[in-house]
Amino acid sequence: MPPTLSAAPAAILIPLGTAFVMPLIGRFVRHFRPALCIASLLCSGVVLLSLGDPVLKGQTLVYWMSSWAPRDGLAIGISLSVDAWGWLIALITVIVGLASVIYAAGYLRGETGHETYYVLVMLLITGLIGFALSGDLFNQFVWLEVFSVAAFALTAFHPEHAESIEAAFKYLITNSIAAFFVAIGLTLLYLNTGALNLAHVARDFKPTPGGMIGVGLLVGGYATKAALVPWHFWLPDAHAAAPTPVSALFSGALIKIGLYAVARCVFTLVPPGHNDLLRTALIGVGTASIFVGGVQMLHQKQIKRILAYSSVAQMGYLIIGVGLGSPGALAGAALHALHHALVKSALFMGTGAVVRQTDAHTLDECGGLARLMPITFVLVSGGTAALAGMPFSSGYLGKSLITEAAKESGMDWLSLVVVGAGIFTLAGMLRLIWRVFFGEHRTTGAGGAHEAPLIMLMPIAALMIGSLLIGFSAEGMTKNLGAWAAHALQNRDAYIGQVMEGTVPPESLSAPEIHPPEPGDISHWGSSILILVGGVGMAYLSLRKPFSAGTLPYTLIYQARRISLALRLWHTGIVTDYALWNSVGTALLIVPLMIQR
Amino acid sequence: MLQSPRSRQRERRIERQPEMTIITRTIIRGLLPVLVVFGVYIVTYGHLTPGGGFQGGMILVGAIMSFYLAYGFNIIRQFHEDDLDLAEHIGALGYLFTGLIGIFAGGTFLYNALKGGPAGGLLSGGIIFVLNFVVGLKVASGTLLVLLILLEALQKGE
Repeated sequence: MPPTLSAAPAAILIPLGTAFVMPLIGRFVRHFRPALCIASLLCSGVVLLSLGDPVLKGQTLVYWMSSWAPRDGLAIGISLSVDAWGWLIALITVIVGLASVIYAAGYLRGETGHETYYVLVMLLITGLIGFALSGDLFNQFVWLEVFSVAAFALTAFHPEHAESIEAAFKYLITNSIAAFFVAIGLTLLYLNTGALNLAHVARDFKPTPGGMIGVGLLVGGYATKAALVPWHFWLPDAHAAAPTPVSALFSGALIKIGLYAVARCVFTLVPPGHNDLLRTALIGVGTASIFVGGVQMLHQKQIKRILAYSSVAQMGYLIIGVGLGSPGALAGAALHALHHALVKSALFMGTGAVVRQTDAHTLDECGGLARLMPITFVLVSGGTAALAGMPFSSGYLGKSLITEAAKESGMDWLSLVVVGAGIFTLAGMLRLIWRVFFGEHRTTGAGGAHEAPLIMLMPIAALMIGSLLIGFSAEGMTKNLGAWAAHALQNRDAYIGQVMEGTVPPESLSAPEIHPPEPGDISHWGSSILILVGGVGMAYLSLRKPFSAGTLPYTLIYQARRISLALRLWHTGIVTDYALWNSVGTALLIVPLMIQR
Repeated sequence: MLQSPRSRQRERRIERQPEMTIITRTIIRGLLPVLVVFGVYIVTYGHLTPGGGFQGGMILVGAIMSFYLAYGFNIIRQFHEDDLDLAEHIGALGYLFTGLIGIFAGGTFLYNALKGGPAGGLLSGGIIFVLNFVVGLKVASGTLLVLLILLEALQKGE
């Protein structure tokens, strides 16, 4: 047990304590609330980093609350089980949380309700970190409730806008159903094994129908958090209605927790040999998410909704990495999760600065802002390039790792899906940039806009610099971070052994060899060039005046529009429909598990 | 926005009948000390019975709510939102600090740092005894706060 491990719970306790202390001393520290949050998040980050050394050598650190270590092979106590996969997600949460709190210090100027905001944000971050570090299935459920309730309240932070209340209501209903699925799944797993500790459940898991349905319900519930199709309906509304720093937290950290939990269920919970069909189903889910998210991006009018649907597409991308399940794909998924957390929160904050400075929420209201807000323009453009996976950006790394893994698994068609995702993302973002930053000022608000305050621009710039650093140190990031995250997910027996017995089988502590392509190697740029050409072309088609009727391009675009209209009609906006799709998706996920029992 | 005609009717009934009949009031007045003692008992003996801080706290809130039903809204105006808020945060922080004592005394969070009495006795719980009290405080004040805010909104809505 390394000496730093005794501090592990501090990573959760410090933000939690801050949330509780803030209302008590709030009136004395009125202007220092963000500073207090930043300090506590920094402490939490330092604690996490101090655990980094053993974790990134393949160990699983286990902290038993109140010293209730397992006895006679029964784990009754509550544990924090920190391995590279959970550690990475917790670190992502802290990074995005820091950026979000700093940004909020500028964003919330001139608004009321600061105390409520910071308390809820700290509870949200605490819940996310707690979920990522907890090694107990039921405690994960409790943390899920903690961050979900904080997230519902934050979505409705502007109760004077009717759409905030509506979005929070949809979010509440869909995610309560998801939490219900998780609770039922936990009950079934408890019936199956008589345990709630993840490692204990994984060790004793018997693939009976009840146990498999339990896993299916768990995966379905967590897929709602991850906003995969068809569980994604809450996401665009919630992201568009929440205050921008909260949207950044949702997209950067909250939906990553769903990914974390799905991967945990697939790899740690289900014994090997029983999860192949489920993983294939997840590849299908990922492809559907990319398609739906990408097409929906192209006809959104609200600025933040475009980014929200892009998140759906990118989550599909990540779940394909999980579905492939080879070391390279998992490393790619882990690094792409880090990349997406940095870049998407930066993009949310950048476009949020535009929304705040111009008071324009739709594309039709702004325009010509490149000259008035040059720094924001540069940052958003850089983020777009990274999101589309251009070489030397962080997006290139995860994209090429997942593509390579797909080729190795004999699924060459997936590289087409990856290129398609890039094309849709680039086209949607270029459309946003063109309508927001170029052309004429369409409203007086846009005409009189000026650059956002420095405190809002700093976190965006920091996140973009982080993304660039990842892109340039591709080899090191894969070797030191991605490979170990993949190792943590794949070595199920090592995880169980370290939690239940506390021993480390030395042969299990070697990372898989993964070689990412060098970003400077032009022979691998093919897919990026394809994405660039396709994305620019599609953006052009979506922005130019319509072709004259009867010509071939007109017919093609007309047919494509019909498909996209069908997709748009699928998003009815009626919460009962969304709840139905939640249940249908979860029921469909149980099928592959039952077949391969 | 979400009110049905029937709930509006019910509200009007609340307004017309701020307190219940003398029979109810007398019974509740006699019952209140018993309920409070029962709630405190459930908190105190949480580690020996299937009770605990949460359950006891809810019973305490139930006692206060039965008093409200019998005597009308004015009787629970004596609870101020700020005080309840403060009590809730003290409860939460109390839990945190009790857990932190464990880190300094035994090395792990929530380590049982207090040596308890003989098994089956009142003091046998160690820190669980303390935790039950802070949880009871947090649950009782938090739930009462929520109910108070809801009832106030109901009064304003009339």
